[in-house]
Amino acid sequence: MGAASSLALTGAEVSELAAESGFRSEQVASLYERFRKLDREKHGVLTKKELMMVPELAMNPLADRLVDVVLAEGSDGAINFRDFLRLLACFHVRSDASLARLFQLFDEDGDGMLSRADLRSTIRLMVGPGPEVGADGSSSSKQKVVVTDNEVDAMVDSTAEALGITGGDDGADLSAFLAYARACGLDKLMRVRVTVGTGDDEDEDEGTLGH
Amino acid sequence: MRPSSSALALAETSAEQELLEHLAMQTPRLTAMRMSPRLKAAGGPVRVPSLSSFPVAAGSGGAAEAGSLEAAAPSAQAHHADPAITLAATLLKQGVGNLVDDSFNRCFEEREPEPWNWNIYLFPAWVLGLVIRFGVLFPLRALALVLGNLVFFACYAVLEFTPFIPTRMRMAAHLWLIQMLCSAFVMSWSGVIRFHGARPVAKPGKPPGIFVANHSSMIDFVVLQQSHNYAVVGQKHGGWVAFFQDRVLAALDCIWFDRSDSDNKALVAQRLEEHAHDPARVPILVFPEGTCVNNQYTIMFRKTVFALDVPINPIAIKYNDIFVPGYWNSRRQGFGAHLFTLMTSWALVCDVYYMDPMTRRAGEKDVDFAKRVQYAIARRAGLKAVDWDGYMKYWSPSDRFIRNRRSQCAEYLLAETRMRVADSPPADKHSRSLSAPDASAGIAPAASVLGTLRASRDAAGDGVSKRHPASADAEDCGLSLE
Repeated sequence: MGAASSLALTGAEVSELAAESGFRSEQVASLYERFRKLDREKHGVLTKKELMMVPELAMNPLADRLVDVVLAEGSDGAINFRDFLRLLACFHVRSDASLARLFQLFDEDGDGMLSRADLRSTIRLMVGPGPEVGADGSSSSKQKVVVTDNEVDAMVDSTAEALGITGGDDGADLSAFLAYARACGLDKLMRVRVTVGTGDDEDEDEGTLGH
Repeated sequence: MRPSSSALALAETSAEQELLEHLAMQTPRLTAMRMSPRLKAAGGPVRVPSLSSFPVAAGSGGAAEAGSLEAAAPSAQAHHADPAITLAATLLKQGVGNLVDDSFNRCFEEREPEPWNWNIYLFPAWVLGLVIRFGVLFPLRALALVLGNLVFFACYAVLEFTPFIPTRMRMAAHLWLIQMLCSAFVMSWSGVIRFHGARPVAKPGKPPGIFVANHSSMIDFVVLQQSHNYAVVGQKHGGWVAFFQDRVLAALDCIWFDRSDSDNKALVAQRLEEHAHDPARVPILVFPEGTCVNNQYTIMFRKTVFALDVPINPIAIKYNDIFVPGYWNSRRQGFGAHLFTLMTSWALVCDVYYMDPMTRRAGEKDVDFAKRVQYAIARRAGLKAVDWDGYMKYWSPSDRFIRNRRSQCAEYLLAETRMRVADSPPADKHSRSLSAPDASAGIAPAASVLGTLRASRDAAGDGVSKRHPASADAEDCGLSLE
């Protein structure tokens, strides 16, 4: 916390944070710059409101849940710089930690199980609300492509089948989800690199596995 | 959405659609391009021109190329995964990526100066430079500025309080004084301003048209004003800037408005229209980005002036960052501090390009015309053109943007789910979706959601000229002339 609230990071703090997160010192320094820019209110922490001021993030169909997953890294609905680094470190290399965040994104009720209800609500968020049925029975929507409940059901079926969720059970737990996602290479898909300066100095094929 | 935003008309459908497509691919592309020089060399500038900016309408050639790009991108790794999970993973990746970097804020970021002085040989030189800049140049420049101001205000007072001067003469003298004052400011930065091209002049009796320029700082105004008088349309400022706006520049007949006041907007448009059609008045200069951009990018041009029936005279302004960047980051420093930075630097180097007039074509929508002008200016000044709306600095994006992204997601999931039902072996299906673009209409938008299909329109260099339809038109207008 001390690191986040002071204005500049000392060299010792940078190396400590670098060692802790697995980032290089330059990356830590550049992420700290970024953190301070996002921290509009200059409280040393990022809140939902501040994160939602990034237009590209606010336009994400899952923005709300995504930000909740990000903020879950900290406490009281805010993350400090250390939390911020820890979260980004999960995505910096291929790791189960990033897949666990994906699980968290789906797990709406937070019970540690992916149920069909969780899948349904997440898919609904991604595709938007279903057709609005007017008083005269006609359906309308402001959205160009509207997905009906039946179509969502089919999507849920397909996803549930992929995860091995059958009608009777509570859903897939984290380990089942991880096994599936790892087999599909989703950890690789979700890598987010942190480039410093021109970015050309980045070792491009650091295939660091696990973590 | 708040009511004011609708009045400001963020973007109309077609432009908005393009922004979304742009967004959908931008984050992953940037990470891909930036992380890998190899990709940049092989997949970037060389292949990009063959990719259409419009993925839905892409011909087979473009999409096939895209397939090969996509194969190099990480998402190809996830091809056995369920589409809903893949989509959520992509959205999560984009969201986390936006924590690190986002294409909107990149337009307003200052370039960090490269430290060069921490070297036993260079350090003394740097210190010497510092002494000269602050100890010699700054006082001289401050003196020039003070003298300029004294002359200006002395003459200004004489003009104001002498009753016998005819109005015409008073106006002409006042306009000349404003130019003189601006020259004093430019001198105080040791401004090296190079003008390129011929400044368009209206035929006698014809409306002079509206001059339109990209915006990096309030000094843009000074830089242009010192050579010719312009009436500007701009944000009302507070403090001592307000005094300049209301009194000192009164002769220019400027239009000042408050950005947050949407009622004002119709009035501004009306005044613009009247002013632009009156050949007797000082020509108007508009900075349609509505906010200062860091002189690496141009952002969306607001459409108001492009809806009027007058020729548009584009001006491209590019500051050379060699000594000091021209960008004013108003969030970080006040205008006084910005001026001080300029006055203590070696010199302000700036290129101003006058471009040939452009007019709205029959049937062309105002937003499309605005975009055509924006891209032409970007190309001339060597800036990257993006479709972000600068007002998002202050307001959240409208729900329409989210609805459109959801539409893209829906299209992707529908196509993928149907294909899954139709094709039993999932591995086969995926490779087809990558290599055979005409297999299904759903594929192009699907790929654009995944964000790897389409190239962005980097206007830097000549990339955009080959891709964006507007560029062909720009050529017709003779904009590519040197």
